[in-house]
Formats: sequence, structure tokens, C-alpha cells
Amino acid sequence: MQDHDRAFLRLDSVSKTYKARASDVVALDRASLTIDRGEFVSLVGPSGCGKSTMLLAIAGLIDITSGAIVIGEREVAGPYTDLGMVFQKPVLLDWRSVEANVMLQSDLRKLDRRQQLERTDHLLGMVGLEAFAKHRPGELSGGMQQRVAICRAIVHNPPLLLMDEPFGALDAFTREQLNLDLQHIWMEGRPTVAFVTHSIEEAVMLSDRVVMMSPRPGRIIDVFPVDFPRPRDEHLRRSTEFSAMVARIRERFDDVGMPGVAMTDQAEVV
Amino acid sequence: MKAAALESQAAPKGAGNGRRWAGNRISRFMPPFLATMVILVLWEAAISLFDVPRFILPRPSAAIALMFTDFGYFRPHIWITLQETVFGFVLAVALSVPTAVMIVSVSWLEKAFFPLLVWSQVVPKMALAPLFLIWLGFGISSKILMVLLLAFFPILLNAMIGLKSLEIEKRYLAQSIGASRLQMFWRIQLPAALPVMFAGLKVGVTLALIGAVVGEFVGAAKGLGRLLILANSNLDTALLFAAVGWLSILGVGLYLIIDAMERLSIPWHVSQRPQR
Repeated sequence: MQDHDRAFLRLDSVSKTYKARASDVVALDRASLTIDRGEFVSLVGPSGCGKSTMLLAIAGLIDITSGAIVIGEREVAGPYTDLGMVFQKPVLLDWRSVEANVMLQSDLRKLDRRQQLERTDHLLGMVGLEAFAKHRPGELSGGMQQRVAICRAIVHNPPLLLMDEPFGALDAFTREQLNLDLQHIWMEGRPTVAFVTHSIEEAVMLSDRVVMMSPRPGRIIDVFPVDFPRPRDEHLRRSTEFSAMVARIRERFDDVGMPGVAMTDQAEVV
Repeated sequence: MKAAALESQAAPKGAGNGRRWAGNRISRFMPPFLATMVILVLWEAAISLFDVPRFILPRPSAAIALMFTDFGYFRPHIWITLQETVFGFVLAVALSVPTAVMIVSVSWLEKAFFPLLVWSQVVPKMALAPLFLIWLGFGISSKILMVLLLAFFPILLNAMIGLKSLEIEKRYLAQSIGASRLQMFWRIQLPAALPVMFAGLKVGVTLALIGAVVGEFVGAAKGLGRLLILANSNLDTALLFAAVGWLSILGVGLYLIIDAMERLSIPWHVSQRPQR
């Protein structure tokens, strides 16, 4: 399906089964997917469709039951560290300032401090937080905290960015603003992104391709290319082309028997 | 960005916190101080009113006067009890925190030793106090052992809970950055555990003082606990209450020291933020 040279991340028939007391739960069932270098791909689906599991598996944070995940030339076995991660919660370290939270990458990876500090300030400026560099996370709103988390995930210029419903807990206004912020930051370095969300609008707004998943067992059922030019903005969000694209994906969910699914913004518990 | 500018108005400003904090202190200490005064006045009045004999209950004014006019008499006893408490407490911290770290990081250690630790907690330690006298004599070492025994468990338990309750996302985050085991512990796990650890230290320090007094009850030459026994056998209730007064000053003082250390080391925690 993809041009082989550009392929960066490959999932090859990946399955994940969780052992449960009553019966085993198949979180991910033979999922195969190739993501190109520099591509922004969203994984969309209702709760329990295994999209978070897929992300954790790509990061090597959980073992897979069968199949293989290859990033670049390497097969993932154990935590894969050449990436940045953003979770649904900001997961900031309360005892560090905003700046020091972003600098965690530099501290743990022992990168060049001066150069990283410069980049930290640059990124915080891009998301409008330059005035809050010395503040503690507890003094920031949820949306501001998530911005810090994005800066932390990208400060070391990783080739891969994994985002697990990063805006799921935010209100609609903040969420739309952060979509734009994320696109802005992403276009600067163009890392490969796997982005989990249950909002079809958000997926269409941000992605080059939207991967649609179904629950129990988690399967990939369809993939939609999104060709809107970048940078995408609020005008696009209000355009008929955009609505038509969203509607197409939503209808596909209806077709496979998940009506109304992925339309709610409620937080997902896996 | 626009949204950030809007949100910034909601975030508290750093300036002016100092004065607000000083104001907080006064408003924090004033109510309990006034409440104590009311109780003391009522107590004083009740004794005059009902003509309570001295050997049943002293006037609070008499006990308080004794505390300070006879400070020279109390001083060596206070000093001994303070030493027992502090040495025992420091020993308890020095032993329980590393034990907690070991138990949490090595799972078979927890399986093997944690039931033993719980069992050691269920055994009434007061019952062992006479034994300590036989082992260690009438000096302060038998009391330090009692303090250690009482303070050890709550500090250990809270340290364990704090270290174990690290959010899975924080662990994932550190792993995805490639944190080593040492980095994970020092940079992530330990700081995250500090608030819960301090809760254990606060319980521990109050139990430490109780341990010292109990140890002295059983047999001691000096100490506020010894003074309590002495006052009791002489029906000297004023002396008894004066000793209790000094004990509570000691207890509150030690607690406040831990409290201040907590403020200094985890100013970022929710519990330390000024109330709005």
C-alpha cells in the first residue's frame, strides 16, 4: 500500500491478549499498519478498541502476544526510547518547574544542556507559555499543562511522537486551540506521529491518514487518507469539505454497527 | 497564543505570597490558641466553683506556674526524654526508609518479610518494655529501643505506600526516556513519594514521644515519664500536669519541626499551597 522506502513504522499482524480471571481479553487482533516517515496518523475508535494498547506496544512499554513491530530498521523489544510520548494526563512532575519538566528529557538522556534550554524556551514560546517557564505545574490550567507535556515530548527532536488521547480531558475550546498548536509545532520538525483519539473531527483536522478501529477484539477496519492542505485552520474546520469527510468516516462506523460511537468526548477508561 | 493569555489570568501570581502566608500563620494559630484559653479559664473557674481538692485536680494556673518557675527542676528530665525521642526517631527513619526502598524494589523481600513486619506490629510492644530493661538496663538505650519500635512501622508503611503508588504513566514516561533504575528512583519515584513519606514521619514523631514515656514508665532514673510516675505516687497533681504540659510542648515542637521540613522540601505539593 505504501511506498516501501518511506515506511518508518511497521506493525505486522500484532496481537495482544490480556489474561483475565474469567476469560482472556483480546485487546488487539492481528493489526497490520505501515506509517511513513513524517506522516501524521490518527487511530480512531470507541473505548476498548485497543488503540491505547497499540500505542503502548509501539513504545515497547507492554509486550505483544504475537506479531512484530518494526521502527526504522529495529524490531521493538522492551522500551523504545527514540521517541516522545504524550498521555491523556499531562504527567508533569509537580516538583519541577515548567521549564525543568521540559528539560527532563535533557536531564535523563544527558543531552547538551544549553542547546536544550534554548529549544525549551523556543517551544514554550510557540505555545504561549514563555511567561510560565519558572512556574510549577500546579499553578497552570489543564490546557497549559498539556502544552507543557507536548513540549517535553518533542524538545529532543524525536523522529517519532506517540500521543494517547492527549486532549481527551480538555474542554472543546482549549482542545481546538491545542489542535492548532500541535500542528504548528509538528510542522516545524515533522516527526512521524501516531495519535490516538476518539474524536473524528480532531483526527481529520490533524492527520494525513485516519485509521479506524473496532472494539472487542480490537481490529483495524478501515483507513482514510485526508488530503487537506496544511497549515489547516479554523476555516477548514467550518468548511463543507471537512464536514463531508467527518461524515464519511462516521457513516462507516455506522455501517459496521457502531452507531454514534466516537462522537462523544467522554474520557476513555481502558 | 490567545488561549494561553486568557488562561494566564486564572493562574495565581507568585508575588505577594509572602505576606499572605504570614497572615495565614496568624489565622492558623489564633483559633486553637483562643480555644485553649477558653478551656483553661473554664477549668480554673470550675475548680473554684466546685471546690475541687488539689490532689484530684490542680488549678491550671498552678500547673502552668510550676512549669516555668521550676524550669530548673524539669530541665534534666526534659533533656533526657528529648534525647530518647530524637535518637529513637532518627534511628527509626534511618532504618525504615531504606527498608521500605528494599522491600518495594525486590518483590520476594516483600513476600518474605512484610507479614513478619505486620506481625511485629500486632504484638503489644508495651509488653516487651520490661524485657528491654533486662537487656539494656535503666539508661536511655532501653527507651530508645522502645521509641524505635513504635516509630518504625508507620514510617516504613507510609514510605512503602508512597514508593509503590507511583502513577503508571510516570513510569511509562521515564521508561520511554530511557531512565536507568537509579534515575527512575532518584528523579521520579522518591520525589513523588515524599508527601506520603512525610505523613509517616508526622505519625512517627508523635509515636516516638509516646514510646519514650512508656519506656520511662517501666523503669528509669530520669525523664518526664519517670516524673509522671513520681508525681502520681505522691498525689502531686500540679507536678503531674506540669510534666504533661512539658510533654505536650515537646510533642508539638517536634511535630512542627517535621512540618517545617515538609514545607521546605515539598513546597510544590497540594497540601502546602495557601488556601484560597
